[in-house]
Amino acid sequence: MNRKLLAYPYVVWMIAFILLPLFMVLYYGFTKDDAGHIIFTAEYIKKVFEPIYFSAMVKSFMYAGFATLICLVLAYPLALILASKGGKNSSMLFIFILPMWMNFLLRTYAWLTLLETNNGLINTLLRAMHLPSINIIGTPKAIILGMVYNFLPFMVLPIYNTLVKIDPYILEAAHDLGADSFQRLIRVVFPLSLPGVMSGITMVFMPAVTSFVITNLLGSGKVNLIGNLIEKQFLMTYNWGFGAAMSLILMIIILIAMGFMKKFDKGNLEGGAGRW
Amino acid sequence: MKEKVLIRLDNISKSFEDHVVLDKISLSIRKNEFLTLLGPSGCGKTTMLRILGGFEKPDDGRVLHGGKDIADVPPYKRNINTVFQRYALFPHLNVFDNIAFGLNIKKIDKKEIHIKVKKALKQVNMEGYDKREVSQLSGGQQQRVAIARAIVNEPEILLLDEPLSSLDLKLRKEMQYELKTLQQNLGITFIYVTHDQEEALTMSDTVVVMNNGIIQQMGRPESVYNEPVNAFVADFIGESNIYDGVMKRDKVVEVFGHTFECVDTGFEEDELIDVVIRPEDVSLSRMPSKGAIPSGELLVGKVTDCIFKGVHYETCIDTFGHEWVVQNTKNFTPGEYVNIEVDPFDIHIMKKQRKADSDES
Repeated sequence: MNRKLLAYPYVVWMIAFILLPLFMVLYYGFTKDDAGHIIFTAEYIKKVFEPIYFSAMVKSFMYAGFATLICLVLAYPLALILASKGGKNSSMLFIFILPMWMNFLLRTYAWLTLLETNNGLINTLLRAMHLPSINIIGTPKAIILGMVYNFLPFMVLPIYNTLVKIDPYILEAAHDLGADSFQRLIRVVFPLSLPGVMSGITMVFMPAVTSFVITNLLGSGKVNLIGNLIEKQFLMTYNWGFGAAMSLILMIIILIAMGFMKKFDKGNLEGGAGRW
Repeated sequence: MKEKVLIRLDNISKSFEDHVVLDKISLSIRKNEFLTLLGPSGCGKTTMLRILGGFEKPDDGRVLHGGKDIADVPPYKRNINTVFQRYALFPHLNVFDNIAFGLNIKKIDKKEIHIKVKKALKQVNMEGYDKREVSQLSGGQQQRVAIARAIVNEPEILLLDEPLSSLDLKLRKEMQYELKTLQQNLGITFIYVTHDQEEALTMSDTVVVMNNGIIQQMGRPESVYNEPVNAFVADFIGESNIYDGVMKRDKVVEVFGHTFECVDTGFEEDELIDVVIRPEDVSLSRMPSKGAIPSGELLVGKVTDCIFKGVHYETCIDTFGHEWVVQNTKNFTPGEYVNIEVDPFDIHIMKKQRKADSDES
């Protein structure tokens, strides 16, 4: 039997749900309806670079970058601890993966009830202990918190995966050659885990930069990132052309950034970063 | 060879879970010695090496170095370096940086590092490879880099954990010779772990034969080969014919009903012993005629197989239920009857070992 036949369903899938929508985005981004005539236009693309919109784009990158950085700082020591147990402590890893089994929206709504200024669980507790309440709903802090909470497992897992794959003899060799545990971490463990770090950065940064649910819920709609602007063009103002144009520019910037990272990654694909 | 003792293991014991890996081992290692730990897998030789390297702590006993017990000193504080079995080179560093790793940790001047690394590369015949990536090297080249990475630190002791086991035969022989030369040139103590008896005999000043966590015999390669102290050593070092025998009186031993002269004395009358005879020490002669009835003083056997091995023929002989392996230059036909003769000096009488050990052999 021709094994190529087995690939056809996937080809159909790709055309229907990936290529076709991509072309539609291209089409909407570069055309407009002028009194019944479809004409080519660069008007929407130009509009993306107007300060009001472009600053939202920059802000998105800053928020996502900051959230990614916090994720990395939190995830790396955690992955080290998990990996050093030699897989024996898989229950700990399980606990960190567990939230991923729940719906993303539910998890974010849960934070909303926790953080609410007046009736939120955290503030109720704080008041009961006569401590000052925290009011971060609707601020950038809440958005960053939401991003870090939701995307942290995507940073932990790839780093953990590269760490457990390091040959234990290589670690012993580093000790043997005079490196104490800290020197070994800096000179051997971290460089060898870079593919995982790159993969983690990609997997956190990408959903964070395009996120609009977290900003809507935890930012109370007060902070507008590029994801929110795109959402509005499609669902509220029905300016599909402009929405498509923003999506395109965002996609191009991300592609350039990823290409840059891949180059930086020295072609080491072990962590899977290259595939993104 | 009468150099002073460099490091001494004193009553070392180690168990993993309930399995005893090392059982009260004591061993002195002298300066400039090429010492080989030889034994089958699971005999405890690698664990002993790892205790010397600091990767394992003994449950009991002391590791004495310069009068101090270093059993609890971590590997990075010991002046001992290791060549690992699977090389364990750093994949993210090139050849130069791999070798320079230990020197960089010590924060040695860059120029000096450069000189030392070049010298180490020369010592392992890898000049000009400094900019290569580790992944571009063959197994033999990686092993040379691993050796250079260790010796560049000028350790007092170099530990080698079966470093040649994954190389092909020809390369292995070359490397054996090179390692021996390297050790002599550097004047460093080498402690070498292997399960290959030929490797041990070729390179070592001292061979330590281990089994079941116990040192079976220790000595120069010649004495271990020629005068094995028990049937296990005799069997493990080279091939041997090992039979149950009875010591009739001094210098006379009976093996499956046939009496042999030997040179051993001091056994009790009718003591049960092991008789060990090396295959190359047996002389065979054809019976005058094929149908002749076995008679006289000589032991007679029937040739069951004769295989050409290059330098010699390996002949298998059946003497009424007991198999002999004989190596000599004569070619026999299976089915032939032969006379078997052994010089009294080549019959080695060994006391029966403890039950557990004799089961092994």
